[in-house]
Amino acid sequence: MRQRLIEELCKIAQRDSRVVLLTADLGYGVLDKFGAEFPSRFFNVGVAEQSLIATATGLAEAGYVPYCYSIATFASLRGVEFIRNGPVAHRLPVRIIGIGPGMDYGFDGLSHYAVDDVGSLRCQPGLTIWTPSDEKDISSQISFVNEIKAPVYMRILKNGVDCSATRLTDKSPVGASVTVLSLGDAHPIGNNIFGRIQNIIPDVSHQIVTILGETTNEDLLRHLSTAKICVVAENHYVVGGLASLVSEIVANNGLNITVVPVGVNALPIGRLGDAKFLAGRFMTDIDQVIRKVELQLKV
Amino acid sequence: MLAKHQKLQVLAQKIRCQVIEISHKAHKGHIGSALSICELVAVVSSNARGLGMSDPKRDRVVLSKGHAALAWYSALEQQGILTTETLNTYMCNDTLLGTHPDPQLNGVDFMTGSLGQGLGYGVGAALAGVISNDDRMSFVVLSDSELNEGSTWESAALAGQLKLRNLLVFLDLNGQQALGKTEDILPTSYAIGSWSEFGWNVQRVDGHSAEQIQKAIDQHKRSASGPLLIVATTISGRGVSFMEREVKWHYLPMSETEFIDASMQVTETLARLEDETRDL
Repeated sequence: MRQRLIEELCKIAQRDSRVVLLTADLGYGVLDKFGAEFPSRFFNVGVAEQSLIATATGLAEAGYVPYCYSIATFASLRGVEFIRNGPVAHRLPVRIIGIGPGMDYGFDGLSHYAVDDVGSLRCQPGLTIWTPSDEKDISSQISFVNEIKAPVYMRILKNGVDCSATRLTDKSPVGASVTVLSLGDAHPIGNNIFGRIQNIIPDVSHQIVTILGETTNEDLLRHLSTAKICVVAENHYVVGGLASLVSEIVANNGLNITVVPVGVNALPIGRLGDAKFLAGRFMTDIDQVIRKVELQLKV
Repeated sequence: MLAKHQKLQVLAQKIRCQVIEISHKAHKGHIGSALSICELVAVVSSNARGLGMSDPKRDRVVLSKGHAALAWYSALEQQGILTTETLNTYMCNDTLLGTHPDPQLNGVDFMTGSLGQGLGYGVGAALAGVISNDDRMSFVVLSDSELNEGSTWESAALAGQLKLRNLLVFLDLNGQQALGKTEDILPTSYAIGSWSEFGWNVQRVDGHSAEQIQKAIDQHKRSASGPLLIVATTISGRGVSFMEREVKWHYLPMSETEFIDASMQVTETLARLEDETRDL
Protein backbone atom coordinates (compact mmCIF):
# COMPACT_ATOMS: atom_id res chain seq x y z
CA MET A 1 0.00 0.00 0.00
CA ARG A 2 2.90 2.38 0.70
CA GLN A 3 4.08 1.96 -2.89
CA ARG A 4 0.63 2.89 -4.16
CA LEU A 5 0.57 5.91 -1.87
CA ILE A 6 3.83 7.25 -3.27
CA GLU A 7 2.73 6.54 -6.85
CA GLU A 8 -0.45 8.53 -6.23
CA LEU A 9 1.50 11.25 -4.47
CA CYS A 10 3.72 11.59 -7.55
CA LYS A 11 0.62 12.13 -9.68
CA ILE A 12 -0.62 14.81 -7.31
CA ALA A 13 2.81 16.47 -7.11
CA GLN A 14 2.81 16.66 -10.91
CA ARG A 15 -0.18 18.99 -10.86
CA ASP A 16 0.24 20.53 -7.38
CA SER A 17 3.54 22.35 -6.96
CA ARG A 18 2.80 22.86 -3.26
CA VAL A 19 3.50 19.18 -2.50
CA VAL A 20 6.82 18.50 -0.76
CA LEU A 21 7.96 15.13 0.62
CA LEU A 22 10.09 14.90 3.75
CA THR A 23 11.36 11.65 5.20
CA ALA A 24 12.96 10.90 8.54
CA ASP A 25 15.45 8.59 6.81
CA LEU A 26 12.94 5.83 6.06
CA GLY A 27 11.32 4.52 2.91
CA TYR A 28 14.13 2.51 1.31
CA GLY A 29 12.98 1.53 -2.16
CA VAL A 30 9.64 3.24 -1.62
CA LEU A 31 10.36 6.93 -2.05
CA ASP A 32 12.81 6.69 -4.96
CA LYS A 33 10.21 7.54 -7.58
CA PHE A 34 9.25 10.79 -5.88
CA GLY A 35 12.90 11.69 -5.28
CA ALA A 36 13.75 11.07 -8.93
CA GLU A 37 10.79 13.01 -10.32
CA PHE A 38 10.85 15.92 -7.86
CA PRO A 39 14.40 16.28 -6.50
CA SER A 40 13.86 19.91 -5.50
CA ARG A 41 10.83 18.92 -3.39
CA PHE A 42 12.25 15.87 -1.65
CA PHE A 43 14.27 16.10 1.57
CA ASN A 44 15.71 13.58 4.02
CA VAL A 45 15.81 15.37 7.39
CA GLY A 46 17.65 12.46 9.04
CA VAL A 47 16.47 10.29 11.92
CA ALA A 48 14.82 13.29 13.51
CA GLU A 49 11.04 13.12 13.78
CA GLN A 50 10.66 16.31 15.81
CA SER A 51 12.61 18.22 13.20
CA LEU A 52 10.49 16.47 10.56
CA ILE A 53 7.26 17.93 11.92
CA ALA A 54 8.69 21.34 12.84
CA THR A 55 10.25 21.79 9.41
CA ALA A 56 6.97 20.77 7.79
CA THR A 57 5.17 23.34 9.93
CA GLY A 58 7.44 26.09 8.64
CA LEU A 59 6.91 24.92 5.06
CA ALA A 60 3.13 24.69 5.45
CA GLU A 61 2.92 28.17 6.96
CA ALA A 62 4.58 29.41 3.77
CA GLY A 63 1.93 27.74 1.60
CA TYR A 64 3.41 24.32 0.89
CA VAL A 65 1.72 20.96 1.55
CA PRO A 66 4.45 18.86 3.15
CA TYR A 67 4.09 15.09 3.46
CA CYS A 68 6.17 13.65 6.33
CA TYR A 69 7.13 9.99 5.94
CA SER A 70 8.15 7.59 8.69
CA ILE A 71 7.09 4.42 10.51
CA ALA A 72 3.73 5.10 12.18
CA THR A 73 4.94 5.05 15.78
CA PHE A 74 7.81 7.41 15.08
CA ALA A 75 5.76 9.72 12.88
CA SER A 76 2.88 10.01 15.32
CA LEU A 77 4.25 9.51 18.81
CA ARG A 78 7.82 10.82 18.79
CA GLY A 79 6.71 14.25 17.68
CA VAL A 80 3.23 14.39 19.16
CA GLU A 81 3.84 17.71 20.92
CA PHE A 82 5.27 19.10 17.69
CA ILE A 83 2.11 18.01 15.88
CA ARG A 84 -0.03 19.61 18.58
CA ASN A 85 1.84 22.92 18.76
CA GLY A 86 2.68 23.02 15.07
CA PRO A 87 0.14 22.04 12.40
CA VAL A 88 -2.76 21.62 14.82
CA ALA A 89 -2.33 24.95 16.64
CA HIS A 90 -1.60 26.80 13.40
CA ARG A 91 -4.24 24.86 11.38
CA LEU A 92 -1.76 23.98 8.67
CA PRO A 93 -1.97 21.27 5.98
CA VAL A 94 0.87 19.06 7.17
CA ARG A 95 0.40 15.40 6.18
CA ILE A 96 1.95 12.81 8.46
CA ILE A 97 2.40 9.44 6.78
CA GLY A 98 2.63 6.64 9.35
CA ILE A 99 3.60 3.29 7.86
CA GLY A 100 2.57 0.12 9.68
CA PRO A 101 -0.58 0.51 11.79
CA GLY A 102 -1.25 -1.95 14.59
CA MET A 103 1.27 -4.79 14.76
CA ASP A 104 2.11 -4.63 11.05
CA TYR A 105 5.82 -4.66 11.92
CA GLY A 106 5.44 -8.14 13.51
CA PHE A 107 8.88 -9.28 14.58
CA ASP A 108 10.12 -5.70 15.14
CA GLY A 109 8.34 -5.52 18.48
CA LEU A 110 6.40 -2.96 20.49
CA SER A 111 8.71 -0.07 19.56
CA HIS A 112 7.31 -0.45 16.02
CA TYR A 113 3.66 -1.19 16.88
CA ALA A 114 1.27 1.69 16.22
CA VAL A 115 -1.37 0.57 18.68
CA ASP A 116 -1.91 3.94 20.35
CA ASP A 117 -1.41 6.43 17.52
CA VAL A 118 -5.11 7.02 16.87
CA GLY A 119 -5.74 7.46 20.59
CA SER A 120 -2.93 9.99 20.83
CA LEU A 121 -4.05 12.08 17.89
CA ARG A 122 -7.82 11.66 17.78
CA CYS A 123 -8.35 14.35 20.40
CA GLN A 124 -6.50 17.03 18.43
CA PRO A 125 -9.04 19.56 17.11
CA GLY A 126 -9.15 19.79 13.33
CA LEU A 127 -6.77 16.89 12.71
CA THR A 128 -8.11 14.28 10.31
CA ILE A 129 -7.04 10.65 10.57
CA TRP A 130 -7.05 8.77 7.27
CA THR A 131 -6.95 4.98 7.47
CA PRO A 132 -7.42 3.58 3.95
CA SER A 133 -8.43 -0.06 3.97
CA ASP A 134 -6.76 -1.00 0.70
CA GLU A 135 -5.03 0.40 -2.37
CA LYS A 136 -8.34 1.32 -3.99
CA ASP A 137 -9.04 3.67 -1.09
CA ILE A 138 -5.65 5.27 -1.53
CA SER A 139 -6.26 5.94 -5.20
CA SER A 140 -9.85 7.09 -4.77
CA GLN A 141 -9.41 9.21 -1.65
CA ILE A 142 -5.97 10.82 -1.85
CA SER A 143 -7.06 13.81 -3.95
CA PHE A 144 -9.72 14.61 -1.37
CA VAL A 145 -7.20 14.19 1.44
CA ASN A 146 -4.64 16.43 -0.31
CA GLU A 147 -7.15 19.27 -0.38
CA ILE A 148 -7.94 19.18 3.36
CA LYS A 149 -6.78 22.54 4.70
CA ALA A 150 -5.76 21.21 8.12
CA PRO A 151 -3.36 18.45 9.28
CA VAL A 152 -3.92 14.82 8.32
CA TYR A 153 -2.42 11.73 9.91
CA MET A 154 -2.30 8.77 7.51
CA ARG A 155 -2.18 5.14 8.71
CA ILE A 156 -0.81 3.08 5.85
CA LEU A 157 -0.20 -0.67 5.86
CA LYS A 158 2.97 -1.88 4.22
CA ASN A 159 1.01 -4.40 2.18
CA GLY A 160 -2.75 -4.77 2.34
CA VAL A 161 -5.45 -6.92 0.85
CA ASP A 162 -8.47 -5.75 -1.11
CA CYS A 163 -11.51 -4.82 0.92
CA SER A 164 -14.97 -5.73 -0.40
CA ALA A 165 -17.04 -4.17 2.39
CA THR A 166 -18.67 -0.76 1.97
CA ARG A 167 -17.04 2.37 3.33
CA LEU A 168 -18.82 4.55 5.84
CA THR A 169 -19.76 7.86 4.25
CA ASP A 170 -22.52 10.39 4.65
CA LYS A 171 -24.45 8.34 2.08
CA SER A 172 -24.11 5.03 3.90
CA PRO A 173 -27.41 3.29 4.61
CA VAL A 174 -28.61 3.15 8.18
CA GLY A 175 -27.06 0.13 9.87
CA ALA A 176 -28.66 -3.07 11.07
CA SER A 177 -29.46 -4.23 14.59
CA VAL A 178 -25.93 -5.60 14.74
CA THR A 179 -23.38 -3.32 13.17
CA VAL A 180 -19.76 -4.24 12.62
CA LEU A 181 -17.37 -1.35 12.08
CA SER A 182 -13.78 -1.82 10.99
CA LEU A 183 -11.13 0.85 11.19
CA GLY A 184 -9.44 0.86 7.76
CA ASP A 185 -6.89 -1.92 7.59
CA ALA A 186 -8.75 -4.04 10.18
CA HIS A 187 -11.35 -5.02 7.58
CA PRO A 188 -10.30 -8.72 7.43
CA ILE A 189 -11.01 -9.01 11.17
CA GLY A 190 -14.32 -7.20 10.78
CA ASN A 191 -15.22 -9.33 7.79
CA ASN A 192 -14.58 -12.52 9.74
CA ILE A 193 -16.80 -11.33 12.57
CA PHE A 194 -19.45 -10.13 10.14
CA GLY A 195 -19.60 -13.56 8.46
CA ARG A 196 -19.93 -15.40 11.75
CA ILE A 197 -22.67 -13.10 13.03
CA GLN A 198 -24.51 -13.49 9.73
CA ASN A 199 -24.84 -17.17 10.58
CA ILE A 200 -26.65 -16.17 13.76
CA ILE A 201 -28.76 -13.26 12.61
CA PRO A 202 -29.21 -11.87 9.09
CA ASP A 203 -29.80 -8.33 10.32
CA VAL A 204 -26.12 -7.38 10.44
CA SER A 205 -24.06 -4.82 8.53
CA HIS A 206 -20.34 -4.22 8.04
CA GLN A 207 -18.91 -0.80 7.28
CA ILE A 208 -15.32 0.39 6.99
CA VAL A 209 -14.32 3.64 8.60
CA THR A 210 -11.51 5.15 6.53
CA ILE A 211 -11.65 8.73 7.76
CA LEU A 212 -11.94 10.13 11.25
CA GLY A 213 -12.72 13.71 10.45
CA GLU A 214 -15.18 16.55 10.64
CA THR A 215 -18.31 14.59 9.73
CA THR A 216 -17.44 11.16 11.11
CA ASN A 217 -19.41 11.55 14.33
CA GLU A 218 -22.57 12.47 12.43
CA ASP A 219 -22.08 9.62 9.96
CA LEU A 220 -21.61 7.14 12.78
CA LEU A 221 -24.54 8.46 14.77
CA ARG A 222 -26.87 8.06 11.81
CA HIS A 223 -25.51 4.65 10.98
CA LEU A 224 -25.93 3.45 14.58
CA SER A 225 -29.50 4.69 14.94
CA THR A 226 -31.04 1.19 14.62
CA ALA A 227 -28.24 -0.78 16.24
CA LYS A 228 -28.48 -2.75 19.45
CA ILE A 229 -24.94 -4.07 19.24
CA CYS A 230 -21.90 -2.48 17.63
CA VAL A 231 -18.75 -4.57 17.22
CA VAL A 232 -15.70 -2.42 16.48
CA ALA A 233 -12.59 -4.02 14.95
CA GLU A 234 -9.31 -2.13 14.84
CA ASN A 235 -5.59 -2.71 14.77
CA HIS A 236 -5.14 -0.54 17.84
CA TYR A 237 -5.49 -0.80 21.58
CA VAL A 238 -9.12 -1.34 22.52
CA VAL A 239 -8.83 1.98 24.38
CA GLY A 240 -8.53 5.32 22.62
CA GLY A 241 -9.36 4.34 19.04
CA LEU A 242 -12.55 3.80 17.06
CA ALA A 243 -14.27 1.73 19.77
CA SER A 244 -13.75 4.59 22.20
CA LEU A 245 -15.13 7.05 19.67
CA VAL A 246 -18.23 4.90 19.16
CA SER A 247 -18.63 4.57 22.94
CA GLU A 248 -18.47 8.36 23.27
CA ILE A 249 -21.15 8.76 20.62
CA VAL A 250 -23.33 6.16 22.33
CA ALA A 251 -22.91 7.79 25.75
CA ASN A 252 -23.25 11.38 24.55
CA ASN A 253 -26.47 10.61 22.71
CA GLY A 254 -28.05 8.33 25.27
CA LEU A 255 -28.19 5.39 22.86
CA ASN A 256 -29.00 1.91 24.10
CA ILE A 257 -26.20 0.10 22.28
CA THR A 258 -23.70 -2.42 23.55
CA VAL A 259 -20.27 -1.65 22.16
CA VAL A 260 -17.97 -4.67 21.74
CA PRO A 261 -14.37 -3.63 21.11
CA VAL A 262 -12.05 -5.91 19.18
CA GLY A 263 -8.41 -4.89 19.18
CA VAL A 264 -5.13 -5.16 21.04
CA ASN A 265 -6.09 -5.82 24.64
CA ALA A 266 -2.70 -6.52 26.26
CA LEU A 267 0.74 -4.94 26.29
CA PRO A 268 2.27 -6.66 23.25
CA ILE A 269 5.67 -7.60 24.63
CA GLY A 270 7.33 -10.88 25.57
CA ARG A 271 6.50 -12.83 22.40
CA LEU A 272 7.11 -12.01 18.73
CA GLY A 273 5.63 -13.46 15.60
CA ASP A 274 3.79 -12.71 12.40
CA ALA A 275 0.53 -10.80 12.27
CA LYS A 276 -1.62 -13.90 12.70
CA PHE A 277 0.38 -15.09 15.70
CA LEU A 278 0.33 -11.65 17.32
CA ALA A 279 -3.41 -11.30 16.81
CA GLY A 280 -3.97 -14.63 18.57
CA ARG A 281 -1.69 -13.64 21.40
CA PHE A 282 -2.54 -10.01 22.03
CA MET A 283 -5.91 -9.25 20.43
CA THR A 284 -9.47 -9.84 21.52
CA ASP A 285 -10.56 -13.45 21.07
CA ILE A 286 -13.13 -13.61 18.28
CA ASP A 287 -14.94 -16.63 19.77
CA GLN A 288 -15.57 -14.59 22.92
CA VAL A 289 -16.86 -11.73 20.78
CA ILE A 290 -19.35 -14.03 19.07
CA ARG A 291 -20.49 -15.49 22.42
CA LYS A 292 -21.01 -11.96 23.73
CA VAL A 293 -23.11 -11.06 20.69
CA GLU A 294 -25.14 -14.25 21.11
CA LEU A 295 -25.70 -13.45 24.76
CA GLN A 296 -26.88 -9.96 23.94
CA LEU A 297 -29.19 -11.27 21.26
CA LYS A 298 -30.36 -14.00 23.66
CA VAL A 299 -29.73 -16.60 20.94
CA MET B 1 25.43 54.63 9.45
CA LEU B 2 26.26 55.58 13.00
CA ALA B 3 22.89 57.29 13.30
CA LYS B 4 21.12 54.10 12.16
CA HIS B 5 22.84 52.04 14.82
CA GLN B 6 22.13 54.58 17.52
CA LYS B 7 18.50 54.75 16.52
CA LEU B 8 18.33 50.98 16.90
CA GLN B 9 19.89 51.34 20.34
CA VAL B 10 17.23 53.92 21.26
CA LEU B 11 14.55 51.62 19.92
CA ALA B 12 15.88 48.79 22.09
CA GLN B 13 15.75 51.03 25.15
CA LYS B 14 12.17 52.08 24.37
CA ILE B 15 11.30 48.39 24.21
CA ARG B 16 13.03 47.92 27.58
CA CYS B 17 10.96 50.74 29.08
CA GLN B 18 7.76 49.15 27.80
CA VAL B 19 8.74 45.77 29.23
CA ILE B 20 9.11 47.35 32.67
CA GLU B 21 5.92 49.37 32.37
CA ILE B 22 3.68 46.63 31.01
CA SER B 23 4.98 43.79 33.18
CA HIS B 24 4.35 45.92 36.25
CA LYS B 25 0.86 46.78 35.10
CA ALA B 26 0.12 43.09 34.56
CA HIS B 27 2.00 42.07 37.71
CA LYS B 28 3.84 39.35 35.78
CA GLY B 29 7.32 37.83 35.74
CA HIS B 30 9.63 36.67 32.93
CA ILE B 31 11.08 40.18 33.09
CA GLY B 32 14.74 39.14 33.14
CA SER B 33 14.36 37.06 29.95
CA ALA B 34 12.60 39.88 28.15
CA LEU B 35 15.18 42.49 29.17
CA SER B 36 18.04 40.38 27.86
CA ILE B 37 16.74 40.41 24.26
CA CYS B 38 15.64 44.05 23.81
CA GLU B 39 18.50 44.84 21.42
CA LEU B 40 17.98 41.55 19.54
CA VAL B 41 14.27 42.14 18.94
CA ALA B 42 14.90 45.80 18.07
CA VAL B 43 17.28 44.72 15.30
CA VAL B 44 15.20 41.75 14.14
CA SER B 45 11.95 43.73 13.99
CA SER B 46 13.74 46.46 12.03
CA ASN B 47 15.21 43.99 9.53
CA ALA B 48 12.21 41.72 8.95
CA ARG B 49 10.61 42.79 5.68
CA GLY B 50 6.83 42.67 5.61
CA LEU B 51 6.55 42.24 9.37
CA GLY B 52 2.89 42.16 10.37
CA MET B 53 1.75 41.80 6.75
CA SER B 54 0.14 38.80 5.05
CA ASP B 55 2.48 38.73 2.05
CA PRO B 56 3.48 35.05 1.74
CA LYS B 57 6.98 36.10 0.65
CA ARG B 58 7.58 38.23 3.73
CA ASP B 59 10.45 37.41 6.08
CA ARG B 60 9.46 35.14 8.97
CA VAL B 61 10.30 35.68 12.63
CA VAL B 62 10.27 32.98 15.30
CA LEU B 63 10.61 33.97 18.94
CA SER B 64 11.68 30.50 19.97
CA LYS B 65 12.12 31.64 23.57
CA GLY B 66 8.42 32.36 23.74
CA HIS B 67 8.49 33.23 27.44
CA ALA B 68 10.11 36.54 26.49
CA ALA B 69 7.08 37.48 24.38
CA LEU B 70 6.60 40.79 26.14
CA ALA B 71 9.80 42.07 24.53
CA TRP B 72 8.46 41.06 21.12
CA TYR B 73 5.04 42.64 21.76
CA SER B 74 6.81 45.84 22.75
CA ALA B 75 8.90 45.71 19.58
CA LEU B 76 5.72 45.26 17.52
CA GLU B 77 4.21 48.27 19.23
CA GLN B 78 7.29 50.36 18.56
CA GLN B 79 7.19 49.29 14.89
CA GLY B 80 3.56 50.40 14.65
CA ILE B 81 2.17 46.90 14.17
CA LEU B 82 0.39 46.78 17.52
CA THR B 83 -1.34 49.77 19.02
CA THR B 84 -0.43 50.90 22.51
CA GLU B 85 -4.01 50.13 23.44
CA THR B 86 -3.53 46.50 22.34
CA LEU B 87 -0.21 46.26 24.14
CA ASN B 88 -1.96 47.38 27.30
CA THR B 89 -4.23 44.32 27.11
CA TYR B 90 -1.24 42.12 28.02
CA MET B 91 -2.45 39.43 30.43
CA CYS B 92 -5.99 40.84 30.59
CA ASN B 93 -8.93 38.52 29.94
CA ASP B 94 -9.87 38.19 26.25
CA THR B 95 -6.42 39.37 25.10
CA LEU B 96 -4.23 37.97 22.33
CA LEU B 97 -1.18 38.96 24.35
CA GLY B 98 -0.36 36.21 26.80
CA THR B 99 2.87 35.02 28.35
CA HIS B 100 3.73 33.23 25.10
CA PRO B 101 3.00 34.34 21.51
CA ASP B 102 -0.33 33.40 19.92
CA PRO B 103 -0.22 32.77 16.15
CA GLN B 104 -3.38 34.78 15.61
CA LEU B 105 -1.65 37.95 16.75
CA ASN B 106 -0.49 40.20 13.94
CA GLY B 107 3.31 40.05 13.84
CA VAL B 108 3.52 36.53 15.23
CA ASP B 109 4.28 33.92 12.57
CA PHE B 110 4.54 30.94 14.92
CA MET B 111 3.22 30.00 18.34
CA THR B 112 6.03 29.18 20.75
CA GLY B 113 6.26 28.45 24.46
CA SER B 114 7.52 24.89 24.41
CA LEU B 115 11.27 25.28 24.17
CA GLY B 116 13.11 23.55 21.34
CA GLN B 117 10.41 23.85 18.69
CA GLY B 118 11.11 27.27 17.18
CA LEU B 119 14.31 26.51 15.29
CA GLY B 120 12.53 23.78 13.32
CA TYR B 121 9.84 26.25 12.27
CA GLY B 122 12.57 28.64 11.18
CA VAL B 123 14.27 25.91 9.16
CA GLY B 124 10.98 25.14 7.40
CA ALA B 125 10.37 28.82 6.69
CA ALA B 126 13.87 29.22 5.25
CA LEU B 127 13.50 26.04 3.18
CA ALA B 128 10.25 27.43 1.75
CA GLY B 129 12.24 30.44 0.52
CA VAL B 130 14.79 28.15 -1.13
CA ILE B 131 12.14 26.03 -2.88
CA SER B 132 10.29 29.16 -3.98
CA ASN B 133 13.58 30.68 -5.14
CA ASP B 134 12.92 34.03 -3.51
CA ASP B 135 14.94 36.12 -1.08
CA ARG B 136 12.86 35.80 2.08
CA MET B 137 14.77 35.51 5.34
CA SER B 138 13.95 33.48 8.43
CA PHE B 139 14.91 35.00 11.80
CA VAL B 140 14.93 32.90 14.97
CA VAL B 141 15.60 34.20 18.48
CA LEU B 142 16.84 31.25 20.51
CA SER B 143 17.41 30.89 24.23
CA ASP B 144 20.68 29.33 25.37
CA SER B 145 18.64 26.93 27.50
CA GLU B 146 17.13 25.58 24.27
CA LEU B 147 20.53 24.01 23.62
CA ASN B 148 19.39 21.48 26.25
CA GLU B 149 16.67 20.32 23.84
CA GLY B 150 17.61 17.53 21.42
CA SER B 151 15.19 18.89 18.85
CA THR B 152 17.26 22.10 18.59
CA TRP B 153 20.20 19.97 17.52
CA GLU B 154 18.14 18.04 14.99
CA SER B 155 17.21 21.31 13.33
CA ALA B 156 20.69 22.82 13.60
CA ALA B 157 22.19 19.84 11.81
CA LEU B 158 19.53 19.94 9.10
CA ALA B 159 19.93 23.68 8.48
CA GLY B 160 23.68 23.22 8.06
CA GLN B 161 23.19 20.27 5.74
CA LEU B 162 20.74 22.23 3.60
CA LYS B 163 23.03 25.30 3.59
CA LEU B 164 20.13 27.60 4.45
CA ARG B 165 21.90 30.94 4.10
CA ASN B 166 18.60 32.75 4.55
CA LEU B 167 18.29 31.40 8.11
CA LEU B 168 19.58 33.77 10.81
CA VAL B 169 19.56 32.58 14.41
CA PHE B 170 20.18 34.88 17.35
CA LEU B 171 21.36 32.90 20.36
CA ASP B 172 20.54 34.81 23.54
CA LEU B 173 23.54 33.71 25.58
CA ASN B 174 22.52 35.17 28.92
CA GLY B 175 23.87 32.18 30.84
CA GLN B 176 20.74 31.66 32.89
CA GLN B 177 17.79 29.33 32.85
CA ALA B 178 14.88 28.49 35.09
CA LEU B 179 16.73 26.97 38.03
CA GLY B 180 20.19 28.48 37.78
CA LYS B 181 23.18 29.19 35.59
CA THR B 182 23.29 27.23 32.34
CA GLU B 183 26.89 26.13 32.93
CA ASP B 184 25.82 24.51 36.21
CA ILE B 185 22.89 22.66 34.63
CA LEU B 186 24.07 21.51 31.21
CA PRO B 187 27.12 23.02 29.52
CA THR B 188 26.57 25.15 26.42
CA SER B 189 30.10 26.18 25.57
CA TYR B 190 30.50 23.25 23.19
CA ALA B 191 27.61 24.47 21.09
CA ILE B 192 29.32 27.13 19.09
CA GLY B 193 32.04 24.84 17.78
CA SER B 194 29.49 22.15 16.98
CA TRP B 195 27.29 24.45 14.95
CA SER B 196 30.29 25.60 13.01
CA GLU B 197 31.01 21.93 12.23
CA PHE B 198 27.41 21.61 11.02
CA GLY B 199 28.17 24.28 8.42
CA TRP B 200 26.92 27.39 10.18
CA ASN B 201 28.59 30.76 9.88
CA VAL B 202 29.14 31.70 13.54
CA GLN B 203 29.63 35.28 14.69
CA ARG B 204 30.02 36.49 18.26
CA VAL B 205 28.61 39.84 19.29
CA ASP B 206 27.79 41.85 22.35
CA GLY B 207 24.07 41.17 22.49
CA HIS B 208 23.39 44.61 23.92
CA SER B 209 25.10 46.40 21.06
CA ALA B 210 22.58 46.99 18.29
CA GLU B 211 25.48 48.08 16.12
CA GLN B 212 27.31 44.77 16.46
CA ILE B 213 24.16 42.74 15.85
CA GLN B 214 23.29 44.75 12.74
CA LYS B 215 26.83 44.51 11.39
CA ALA B 216 26.76 40.72 11.80
CA ILE B 217 23.60 40.55 9.72
CA ASP B 218 24.97 42.89 7.05
CA GLN B 219 28.21 40.96 6.78
CA HIS B 220 26.33 37.66 6.48
CA LYS B 221 24.15 38.98 3.68
CA ARG B 222 27.25 39.96 1.72
CA SER B 223 29.20 36.74 2.01
CA ALA B 224 27.26 33.84 3.48
CA SER B 225 27.31 30.28 2.23
CA GLY B 226 25.33 28.66 5.08
CA PRO B 227 23.01 29.64 7.92
CA LEU B 228 24.12 32.29 10.40
CA LEU B 229 24.39 31.82 14.16
CA ILE B 230 24.84 35.09 15.99
CA VAL B 231 26.09 34.25 19.45
CA ALA B 232 24.85 37.25 21.40
CA THR B 233 26.35 37.54 24.84
CA THR B 234 23.69 39.15 26.99
CA ILE B 235 22.79 39.80 30.60
CA SER B 236 19.53 38.57 32.03
CA GLY B 237 17.68 41.55 33.47
CA ARG B 238 19.86 43.98 31.48
CA GLY B 239 19.34 47.63 32.29
CA VAL B 240 17.95 47.25 35.81
CA SER B 241 20.80 46.92 38.30
CA PHE B 242 19.01 44.80 40.87
CA MET B 243 17.70 42.38 38.22
CA GLU B 244 20.91 41.72 36.32
CA ARG B 245 22.08 38.08 36.50
CA GLU B 246 19.50 37.27 39.20
CA VAL B 247 17.60 34.05 38.51
CA LYS B 248 14.58 35.14 40.56
CA TRP B 249 13.66 37.70 37.90
CA HIS B 250 12.90 34.79 35.60
CA TYR B 251 9.76 34.44 37.71
CA LEU B 252 8.93 37.34 39.98
CA PRO B 253 6.81 40.37 39.32
CA MET B 254 7.95 43.75 40.69
CA SER B 255 6.74 45.38 43.87
CA GLU B 256 5.74 49.03 43.65
CA THR B 257 9.09 50.17 45.08
CA GLU B 258 11.04 47.93 42.71
CA PHE B 259 9.01 49.22 39.78
CA ILE B 260 9.77 52.84 40.62
CA ASP B 261 13.47 52.07 40.85
CA ALA B 262 13.51 49.98 37.65
CA SER B 263 11.46 52.52 35.74
CA MET B 264 13.78 55.34 36.78
CA GLN B 265 16.85 53.39 35.65
CA VAL B 266 15.54 52.47 32.19
CA THR B 267 14.05 55.90 31.46
CA GLU B 268 17.24 57.68 32.48
CA THR B 269 19.20 55.48 30.08
CA LEU B 270 16.68 56.19 27.36
CA ALA B 271 16.96 59.93 27.92
CA ARG B 272 20.74 59.73 27.68
CA LEU B 273 20.61 57.70 24.47
CA GLU B 274 18.09 60.07 22.93
CA ASP B 275 20.29 63.03 23.80
CA GLU B 276 23.23 61.37 22.08
CA THR B 277 21.14 60.64 19.00
CA ARG B 278 19.69 64.13 18.82
CA ASP B 279 23.11 65.60 18.05
CA LEU B 280 23.66 63.29 15.07
